[in-house]
Amino acid sequence: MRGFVTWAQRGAGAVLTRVDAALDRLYGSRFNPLYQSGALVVLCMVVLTATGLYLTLFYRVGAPYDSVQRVTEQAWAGRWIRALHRYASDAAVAAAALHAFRLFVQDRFWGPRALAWVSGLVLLFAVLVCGWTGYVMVWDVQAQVLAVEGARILDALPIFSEPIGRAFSGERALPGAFFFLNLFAHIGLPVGLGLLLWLHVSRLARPKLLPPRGLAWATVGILATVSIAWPVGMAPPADLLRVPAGAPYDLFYAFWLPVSLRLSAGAVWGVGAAIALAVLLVPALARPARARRPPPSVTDEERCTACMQCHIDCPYEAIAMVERPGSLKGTVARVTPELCVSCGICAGSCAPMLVGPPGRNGRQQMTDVRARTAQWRGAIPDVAIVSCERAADPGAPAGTAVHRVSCAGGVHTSVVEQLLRAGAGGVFLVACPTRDCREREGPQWLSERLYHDREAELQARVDRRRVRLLHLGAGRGREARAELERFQGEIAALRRETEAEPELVRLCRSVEEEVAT
Amino acid sequence: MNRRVTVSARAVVGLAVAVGVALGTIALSRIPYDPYAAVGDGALLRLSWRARAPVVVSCRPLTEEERATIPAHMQRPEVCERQTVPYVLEAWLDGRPLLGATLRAEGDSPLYVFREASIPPGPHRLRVAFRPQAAGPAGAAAEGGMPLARTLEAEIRPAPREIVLVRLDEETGRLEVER
Repeated sequence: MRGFVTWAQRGAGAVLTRVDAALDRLYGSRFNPLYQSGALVVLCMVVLTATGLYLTLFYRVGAPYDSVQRVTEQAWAGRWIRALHRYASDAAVAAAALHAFRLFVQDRFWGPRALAWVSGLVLLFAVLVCGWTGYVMVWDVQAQVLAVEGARILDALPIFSEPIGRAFSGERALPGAFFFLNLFAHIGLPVGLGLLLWLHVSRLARPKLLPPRGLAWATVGILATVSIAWPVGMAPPADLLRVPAGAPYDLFYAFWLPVSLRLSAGAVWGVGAAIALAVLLVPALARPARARRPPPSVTDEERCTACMQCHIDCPYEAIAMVERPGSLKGTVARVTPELCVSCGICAGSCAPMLVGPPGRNGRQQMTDVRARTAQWRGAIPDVAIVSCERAADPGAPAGTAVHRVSCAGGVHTSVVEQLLRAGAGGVFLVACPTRDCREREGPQWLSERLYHDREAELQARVDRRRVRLLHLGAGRGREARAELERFQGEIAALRRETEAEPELVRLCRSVEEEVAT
Repeated sequence: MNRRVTVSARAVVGLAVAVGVALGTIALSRIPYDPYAAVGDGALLRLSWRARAPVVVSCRPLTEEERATIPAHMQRPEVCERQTVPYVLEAWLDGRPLLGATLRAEGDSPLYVFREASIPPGPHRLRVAFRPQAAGPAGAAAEGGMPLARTLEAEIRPAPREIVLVRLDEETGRLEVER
């Protein structure tokens, strides 16, 4: 199973990388909507709530079709608000499906992330059910088909004292109570969605629930514009004594109809249960073998200074501050292995290098980088490249040495300094875009440690002109290469500048550096 | 100057892509679809009603073995079994059989009839019969008396895509065509 998943991820990943890169170039990584798929779902929910409140004011359970028609006839508000409600609900499903696909391709669904995967799928299902009730509210031919088919499927469950499908047989007029219940479900379900959303992000520190303001307004603006330009019309009203004629159907909420109409209710349940089970069990079936799973971080509790930085920086709230064991007072950082995804960001956040996944904490990074620089000897590179294995690959042009890491956010700033001390003219770091880090906050923390004195910061004595951080996603290797070449040029200029300095100035500088050290 | 041109061209393409995606979403939200295309210009006969199926109670005295296993104070003179009467539902259109099924109620719940069949539009002679399958085992007695068979003979003239509904009037106990 894992082999198949890896194969699928590789294939889909290649496509996604190209699309990401194209949209990055168009909108910039900050406003790339693909990086914000989850936040866009929440934004659509906000739009749905606002427009839904307006529409509810005019909805009448005693005359559902007529009341929706009256709203649709309101040229100034109702018509486009109803369309916006519809299109936002479609966009929510599209964004949610994209979000799930993206996380699958990025292998972010197993281990501690399984809760988010499962709750996300339940959320998507709840959104679909909520949409189903919304369509039934209109009571046009699409509503009739959805209601009749839904009732047929539900009647296969031996839980109803009377088949609910009878309500739609045409023997009696459909009671207002049905539409009241449906309206209640349509309004009540979003409350449940809110709780599910809380569960969905419960393992994340600082979840970003909404996209950046610019993207949010652009999304709402475009949806509103198309709602005004192409409002939703009214299909013919439902008639239980007529076979529903053809009408426009919403693929996002009625996609299952062509299949279910051809199957018995039992078979629909069978197929639905099989699909649900398959996607819900993905975290269990498709995770790597135990031996291949990266081990969780560990802390050196004896020497922990309780600065709390790893606790603050951990994007998954996997590090807690607990009572220091033994007789000493105070707290120490402790990793909860069940919550740790082994991102290694804590390794970069601990100034004394006491925390991180085995083999990747600050001390081991330093050992590793010393071993690498020892091999340089006669061929000291102009620029040492430290790049995330998921970010843009600038290649390895002449005069460079490449050091790949699993997440740039886990790179300890001492590694950068060590590379410069070993003789590299500059250090070129390549991280993922801040909104597309597999480990969520790696690039952001790295940037703050390098340039904004976040704890475990790059020391002031390091010449920042010799350090360059680039946020570029995979698929943008060409741009990364161009930026690298520019940086190489700047380093060469710096080298010439330094060589041209009078001996006395150079001596003063070295003394200054020595004092700072 | 060049840079400004590049940025505005990118903005135009970006806007076009965004609007294109939005229009694509709209297009997918209104796909013309006829879920019952197979019906074509045909009509539909729908039989739908609820009827309380009589319960047949058949009793027999306890056997010696049963008496031996039941404490004396719990023994009743006879054991009775309650069974709902199965019903046969049949329909003919212009004298040709259209539907046939045997229906049995679950436990004490009523018997729910819901059957549909495609029929051509136009004038037809419809006959529907709904009758108990058998009088029940010998010695059995139906609570509330034995059920009556119900039949319907009617002329129908459905239009294309019209549903002819046959229902049971619960007050008169007669099958009738909903018009």
